[in-house]
Amino acid sequence: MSYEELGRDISDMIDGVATPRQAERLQRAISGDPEAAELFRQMRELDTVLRDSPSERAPADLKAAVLESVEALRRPRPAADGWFATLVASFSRRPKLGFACAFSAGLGTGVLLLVLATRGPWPDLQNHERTSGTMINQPAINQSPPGGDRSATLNVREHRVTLTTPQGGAGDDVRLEVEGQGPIAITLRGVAPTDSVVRLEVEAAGELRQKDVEWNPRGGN
Amino acid sequence: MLPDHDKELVRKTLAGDDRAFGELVDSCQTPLYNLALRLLGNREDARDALQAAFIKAYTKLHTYDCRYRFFAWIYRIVMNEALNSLKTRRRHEELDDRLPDRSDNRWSPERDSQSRLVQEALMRLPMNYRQAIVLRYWSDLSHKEIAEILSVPEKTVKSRLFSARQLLIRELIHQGVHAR
Repeated sequence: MSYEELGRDISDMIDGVATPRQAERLQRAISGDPEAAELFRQMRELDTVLRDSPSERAPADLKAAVLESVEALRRPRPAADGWFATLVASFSRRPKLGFACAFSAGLGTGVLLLVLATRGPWPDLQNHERTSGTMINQPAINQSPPGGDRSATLNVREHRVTLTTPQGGAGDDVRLEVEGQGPIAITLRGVAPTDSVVRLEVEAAGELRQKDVEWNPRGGN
Repeated sequence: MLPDHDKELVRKTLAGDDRAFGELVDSCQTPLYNLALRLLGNREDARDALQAAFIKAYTKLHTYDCRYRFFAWIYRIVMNEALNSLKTRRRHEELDDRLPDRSDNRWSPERDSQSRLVQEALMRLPMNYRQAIVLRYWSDLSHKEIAEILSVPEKTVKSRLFSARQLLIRELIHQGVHAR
């Protein structure tokens, strides 16, 4: 009889499911093998120890708590528990996501406030008469293909700003080049009523310069 | 509980009768609580796991297949909740390993040192052995029923029980714990 068979017969005997054939085989094994007899004795003793280990009653308030939760599940949720509560709950479960979203929201708000504070109302992108833009300390902006030849250059303190308008069909784009260090504010404005003059204003350290340059917003000469 | 009675209670619950669900809870809460308690070794965790399991069972009741026995279905849910609870606890214990020892929260029936030794030995068993022993002794299930719950052949259940018993003999009988 292999050790595996012995183990299976002992387990079945202890659990009360051994067949008469298994019982007979086990009886033969333990009467002829002291080690098998000792293993059987220890298994029976363990069985008694485990059976004597007491069960506990479920907590008295468990059923009430379960039924209360079930009742809450059936109740329609108030409006306040909508997407915002779900979002807050998901953030509390995933704090990294919460921090990332809070950071993004803060960054977005900051950028928006900065833009509003420095640019004023949004430009009318369809009509460039009122289009203006402000950049703070951008080293270079190039929104047009090369080849523009109408340009204006302004030197303000240590800064040199060049505005070039495209010649021959680059839409409404202009090219700005900035050289120099430190804070600088640049404003571009279409000047009414001609609709073909861009006013470049450069301000650095409280000093303001401005210059007009002709352009052709329809792309012709 | 008779299987047909279970199914009737399930049917009534699905029809909106929460009292029927209360009867289901009544009928199986004690063996399920002991299952969770012996798997987790902590009363508070066992209660939380069981409550979560009952709520999950309620919300998933429509997925229960009446061809199978209700107890096997809900035992599996409780076991999964207990395993989840163990995973969460391990993560927290890893995080809290510099905090003061939390062993006073664990289940230690001071009045009965033998029960304590049995529980400590159980907690040292590999989980699949622990499940087999707990289902056999504290849920009083047959090999066939254990096999159904664990989704393994009966032969595997017998083998796990035998191996678990061998380990427990080493942990308990060889350490001087004897039947009273």
